Amino acid sequence: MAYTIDDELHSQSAYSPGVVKDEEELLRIIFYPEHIVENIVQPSAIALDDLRSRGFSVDRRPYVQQDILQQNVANLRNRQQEARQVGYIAQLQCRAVRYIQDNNAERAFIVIDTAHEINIAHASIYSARPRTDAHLRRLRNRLLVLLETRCNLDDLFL
Amino acid sequence: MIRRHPHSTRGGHPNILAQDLRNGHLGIYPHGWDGADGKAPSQATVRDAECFTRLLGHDDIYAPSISLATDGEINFFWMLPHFRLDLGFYGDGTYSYYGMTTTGDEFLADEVSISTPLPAQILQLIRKQ
Repeated sequence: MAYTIDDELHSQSAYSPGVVKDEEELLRIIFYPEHIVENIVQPSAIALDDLRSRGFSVDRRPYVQQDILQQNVANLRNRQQEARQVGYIAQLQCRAVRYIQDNNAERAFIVIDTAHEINIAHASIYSARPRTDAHLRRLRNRLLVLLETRCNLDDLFL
Repeated sequence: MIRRHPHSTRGGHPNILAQDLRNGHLGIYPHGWDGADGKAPSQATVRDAECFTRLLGHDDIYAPSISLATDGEINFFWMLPHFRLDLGFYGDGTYSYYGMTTTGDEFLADEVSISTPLPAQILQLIRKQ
């Protein structure tokens, strides 16, 4: 589904606790070594097609449930045990995501409340408009920097 | 030669992917290889990555980190002190890239034929000094 910047202003899911506010923290599960090499998050941690159309999934910190997040980490680790030796939670500030600009000094990304019935914290990051692969690569490298702030799952709920 | 791995669960480990690609044995993964809804890289994508690797194949070029994205991309990533290059394949016979030097020079291109080598300026940046 193609969302626009205007869609950030109106709730997009029947299960949503409301639109995503600038001051919210967004969480994303990443794994070592699949996504992290020499302490650097790899571009493949963010699929271009997610930014283009599928949505880059994150969880909204104020609404995240510890048991759901733990279960997601466990399920994902079980499928790729060698590549997912350690799970981390990247912490992105929604304001920082929305602050990223493209070459025309326009918003690069939008953050949409795409809550699921079983996970009302679910939200999605999309490119604010259609772009070529090379331009999406440019912008995902800006977004990757935000994945560098991360913690262990257990530390998140201390 | 492209072979199917008997155990697809080994996929995703950057060192294994690089080793397998060098040996021509990069695995073909099933849909959902990532434990979610991940799309597997197609055989054409693997072929393109292998072809590009052969084209690149000089000992004096830094080896990239090689990884899979969940949309079927095979990604080559160079993170060097002076240069960062994000380059990928989707199996359509082309590649695209975005690179930036520490001094702010940017390089980007779409739909470059797989038989076309990187521009000399970029090759110079990923060449061992």
